[in-house]
Amino acid sequence: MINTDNYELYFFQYQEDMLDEAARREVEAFVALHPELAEEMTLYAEAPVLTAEEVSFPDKNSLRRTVAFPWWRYAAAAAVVVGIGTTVMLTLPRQEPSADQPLVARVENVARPTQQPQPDTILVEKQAALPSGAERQCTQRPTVQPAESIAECVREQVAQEVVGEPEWEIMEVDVFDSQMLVGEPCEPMLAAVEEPQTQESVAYQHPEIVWVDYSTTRSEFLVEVVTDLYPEQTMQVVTKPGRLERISKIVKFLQSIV
Amino acid sequence: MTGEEYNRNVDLWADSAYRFARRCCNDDECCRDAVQDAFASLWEHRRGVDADKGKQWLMSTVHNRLMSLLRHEQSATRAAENSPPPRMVEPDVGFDLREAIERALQSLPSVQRQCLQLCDVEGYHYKEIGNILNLSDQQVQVYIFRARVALRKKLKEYQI
Repeated sequence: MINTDNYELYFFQYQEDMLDEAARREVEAFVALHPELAEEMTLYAEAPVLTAEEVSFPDKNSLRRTVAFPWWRYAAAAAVVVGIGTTVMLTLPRQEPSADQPLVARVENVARPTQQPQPDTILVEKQAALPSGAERQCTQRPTVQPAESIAECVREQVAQEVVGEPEWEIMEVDVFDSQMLVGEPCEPMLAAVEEPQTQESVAYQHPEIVWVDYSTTRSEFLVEVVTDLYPEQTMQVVTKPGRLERISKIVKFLQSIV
Repeated sequence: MTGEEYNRNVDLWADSAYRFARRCCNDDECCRDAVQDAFASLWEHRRGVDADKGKQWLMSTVHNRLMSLLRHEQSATRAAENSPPPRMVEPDVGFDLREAIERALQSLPSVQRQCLQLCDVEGYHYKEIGNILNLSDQQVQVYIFRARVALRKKLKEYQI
C-alpha cells in the first residue's frame, strides 16, 4: 500500500512501467490526494539520462599482467608430438639395412681396429641377451632379420669400416663406474632423450641387438637404451678414444634421469 | 578466470571502473588508486572469479575501496578544528548542459550518484547495482528516484 513513507518507490516503479494496472491506479489516486508530491513525479520524468563521460583510465598498460605460458601446455604439446612420432614410426614400412646404411648388431670378438674409421661412426655393443620386455617389443615386427645374419653383416661392416683402423679401439665401459662417468649433461643429450622414435625404430629393425648407429645423436640414445635394458653390466664400445669420455658422460646423465 | 581473461577484463572494464570511480570521488588520484587496487585484487583472486563476473567484481571493489578512503578522509576532516566547509559549486554564467549536469551530480549524495551512474551509464540492473553497493534493489530504486528528482531540481536552479 502506497503511503508518504514509501511513495518514492511507487513513483519510481510507476515511471519505469513496473506496476500492474491496479497498482498504477493506486499511485494515481495517491497523487490526487497529495498534490504537493505530484511535482516530484514531474521532475523525475524531466530528469536527463546520464551518458558516458569521455574518460579513459590513464595507464591501462600498468594494469595488464604478463601471462606465463602454462608448463603443462608444453608437456601436452610434447606428449602429442611424441605420440604422433611413435605412431608414425610404428606404421611406416620397415626399411631393410643396406651396405650404406647404419647397422645394428651384437659384435663379438671384434679385433682391435687398425683402419681409418668413418668419421662419425660409433659402434656400441652389449654382451648380454635382451630382456624379455625388449624382446616382446621387438618381435612385434615379423620381418626382423635373424641374429646370425645381422652379426655376420656387422662383422663385415666392422671389418670394412672400423676394425683395423688405428684410431679405433674397443673399450669396456662400466656404466656404474664413477671414475669413468664424469661431466655434466648438455643440450644434445636432452635432444636425444626427446627422440624416442629412434629407439623404437632400431629396436624393431634388430630386436636381438641393442643398437649401432652412425649419427652422434642416435649413439647418445643408444646409450640410454643400453643402460635401460642392461643396468648392471658393462658394455663394449667401439669408438675413438676421444669419444669414449663423451659416451661416459651421456651414460651418467641418462642414469641420473631414468 | 585465467590470466588471459584477466587482461581482457582490463581492456573491457578499466575505463568503466575509472568512470565509476570518478562519479564516486572528485580526487583523481584516489580514483586511479582505487581502480589499480581493484585490478590488483582481481588478479590476486582471479581463480575464484568467473570471467563474466569481472566487471561487477571490479565495480564493487572500486566502490568499497573509495568508501574506505572517503571514511578515512572524513574522519581526518572532523579531527581538524579549522577545516574549511565544503565549497559549494555554483554555476558560472553560460556553461553548457553537460557541465551543468556534472555540477548538479556533484551536489548529490554519493550513493545516489553511484546508483545513477551504474544504472544510466553502465547499464546495470537494479539487483546488480544492489550487489555492487550492498543495497537492496528497492533501496537502489529509491536512490535513483531521489537522484533524478534532485538533479532536475538543480538544473532548474541553473535555469536549464
